[in-house]
Amino acid sequence: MSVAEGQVLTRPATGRTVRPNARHRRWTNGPVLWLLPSVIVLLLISLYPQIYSLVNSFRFYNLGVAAHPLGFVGGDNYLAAFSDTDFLDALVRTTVFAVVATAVEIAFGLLVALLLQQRLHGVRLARTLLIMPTAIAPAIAGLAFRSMYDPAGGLIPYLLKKIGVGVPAQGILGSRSTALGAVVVTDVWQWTPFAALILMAAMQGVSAEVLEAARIDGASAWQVFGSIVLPLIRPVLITVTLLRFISTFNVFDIIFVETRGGPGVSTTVAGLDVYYNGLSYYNIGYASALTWIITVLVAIVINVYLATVGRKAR
Amino acid sequence: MLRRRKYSVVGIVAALAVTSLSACALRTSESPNEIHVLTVADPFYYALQKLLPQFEKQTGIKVSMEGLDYNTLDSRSTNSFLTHQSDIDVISPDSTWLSRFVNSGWLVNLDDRIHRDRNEIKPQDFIPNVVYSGNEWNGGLYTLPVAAYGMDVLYRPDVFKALGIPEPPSKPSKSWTWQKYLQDIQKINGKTVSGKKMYGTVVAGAGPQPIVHMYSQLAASMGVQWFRSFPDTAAWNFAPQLDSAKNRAALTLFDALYKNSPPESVNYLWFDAGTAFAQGNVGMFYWWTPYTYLVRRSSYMGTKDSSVVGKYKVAALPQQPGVPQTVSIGNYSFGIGKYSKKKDDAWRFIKWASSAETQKKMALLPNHQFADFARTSLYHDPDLLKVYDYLPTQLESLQAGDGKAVRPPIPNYTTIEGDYGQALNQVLAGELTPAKALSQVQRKSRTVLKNELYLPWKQPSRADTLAATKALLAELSGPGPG
Repeated sequence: MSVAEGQVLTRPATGRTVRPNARHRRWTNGPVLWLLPSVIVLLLISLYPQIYSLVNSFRFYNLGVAAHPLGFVGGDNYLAAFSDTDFLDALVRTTVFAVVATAVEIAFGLLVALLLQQRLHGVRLARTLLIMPTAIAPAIAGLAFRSMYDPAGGLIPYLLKKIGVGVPAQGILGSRSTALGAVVVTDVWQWTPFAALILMAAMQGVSAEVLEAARIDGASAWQVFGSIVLPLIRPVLITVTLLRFISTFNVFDIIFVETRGGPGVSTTVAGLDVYYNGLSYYNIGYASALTWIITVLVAIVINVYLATVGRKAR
Repeated sequence: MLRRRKYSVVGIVAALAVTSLSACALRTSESPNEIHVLTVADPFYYALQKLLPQFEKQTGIKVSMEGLDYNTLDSRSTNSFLTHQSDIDVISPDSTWLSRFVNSGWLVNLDDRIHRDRNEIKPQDFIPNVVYSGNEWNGGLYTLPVAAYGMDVLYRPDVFKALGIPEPPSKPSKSWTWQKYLQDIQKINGKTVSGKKMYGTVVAGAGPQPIVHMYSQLAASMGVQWFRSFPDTAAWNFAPQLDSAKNRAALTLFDALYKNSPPESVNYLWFDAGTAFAQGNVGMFYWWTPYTYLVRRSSYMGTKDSSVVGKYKVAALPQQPGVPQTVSIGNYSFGIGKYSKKKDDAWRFIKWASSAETQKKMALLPNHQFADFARTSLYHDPDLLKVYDYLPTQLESLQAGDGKAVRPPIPNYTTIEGDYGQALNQVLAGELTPAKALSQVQRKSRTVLKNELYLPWKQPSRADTLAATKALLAELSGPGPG
């Protein structure tokens, strides 16, 4: 016997009425019980450290002075951060890195996704190979590129010289004018496939009938892409852009391995500054304040982006 | 419905059981007499690793030893101690971290153990300068050295001969100055010898640690001090002295060295400088003493011979006229973690690893990639001198060493080192002049020291001297209940 939603049953023995929905709403019968462990774990491993770091950001907590926090100092750590020109410069550099890397990854990702949509020989193999850079650790990618940029026998300077492009005497990673670009290239190499695969999946969701209809109506390939495909995949495009922006804004591994922020401070990004302050200088209070400034900045950028571009997409 | 609820309960109970069993399995997967050693992946680590089966056979203690990179060792051990974990039985803090570890109470004082086992340990066999630089803090010993590093000069006699330059001396000499060193490398730089275009020298230019380690040696030789008075005075004063005429002269000279180096060395880390020399196109450079044997291989701890095997010699460090020579000392030493539950086993391991017998075995392993002895007796051992003929120069370097003067190990040393290293690198990169860089470092370090309660210093001070460490070693070697 099936029971329709909202149907009232009468229990024969007691004559009391029982609503099936009310019974289902009992928390032990629903998904709550099953979700509870995940929620507890999530709160413990995500929310607790965040609150703890927020509390620390208002403390004088420096292991160079004592192994325990020495009390609250109000907003001193935040004031120090906003008057720290190294940190402010690092924020600017991080923004440049994040915007350029994200834009290039999304642009290349779109191109690669379009290519993968074509019925070409080897496309299946290309799709399989494409996932590989994304699967390796950023530190390993950094090490590989460090070796490829090596002025003494590295592949990239060799190829550049072969095509007549000059390489700085200090090497690509050793020159202030090329080092930041070089680490952007590493990030682009590693994460363009991620953007491409997600966008390709979105493109596959576009109805073939709609595309066919457009073509029958005489739309060119560019018009089909610009007026049909792009608007339809826009929500996914926005999501991928956001994910990449967040990730590039928090870049650390690649730069630590390739340049350690040098030469000079030309590749010192905010993530590296936080690392040095927190895990090398052990100024935990100050590093926590830097972390929160970065978090708030990223949240503002995301919300502005969603409020403008995201709204149009909806 | 009842069945569904029953399944839910069974599911939850099963999940809890699996979790508990996993936790138990994790706890019991370690044998009861297994100790964990956390250290840096320097050459001594690889040599010790090969000898561990001998220790395990002798004692029945199983050793799980992890070799990490410098920064990871620092952050991982700090995190472990901060959270009161008992996963570190033996730890090897860098000499500049020792004060922070001791002040935080993370290391066990070893004085009583050393005195008790003095006949086995022979404390007076340790080079006092090494112990003073890296094992002593607040008048006590917290670690015992397993690898001691000084600084020396490596050069290519064939290149000097081909260009008609007199070879540098193997013993310290007043006529062997840093200016002479610069002149020699300028004569080599850009010349072609045996078909190879030579660089005069090579620097480790990456910040913050590698460049500070290399530069601070040159600066110390030229009489540069970090603070007004530390550590050998009764009243410590941490007023920074980095923006001094002596330091400006030293940094100008270091920048000149870089200009005679491979340009990419602005980003060189530790072994990159060694690798550049091992490739055969560098005339002379100074660096930590382990590079004396490391450059025999084409890659770090590799098995393939480099192109300079049999073609290089060791010289003493240059000096600055009128300034007493001060050599940098770095060492890696083993101490017992405060939260270790196997302190006695950890102590047995430390005694074994730092013993003359084990150190000799480490040096005589087939690849010959360890000669960083902290014990004087090993520098006179005929078997070792056969393999490492430069040991007398290395011993002289260590005996002129004062790690606490060259890189003062105050608890917030790494913060000042960070700003210093960044500014030094900015000079090589052309972003700052030496004068501007040092003015910037002076300003930043003053702010840091003030914010972190070093300026003015209101805590107790003590005259931390080499003489006091010698006296301590004598006391720990002396009579009394043992």
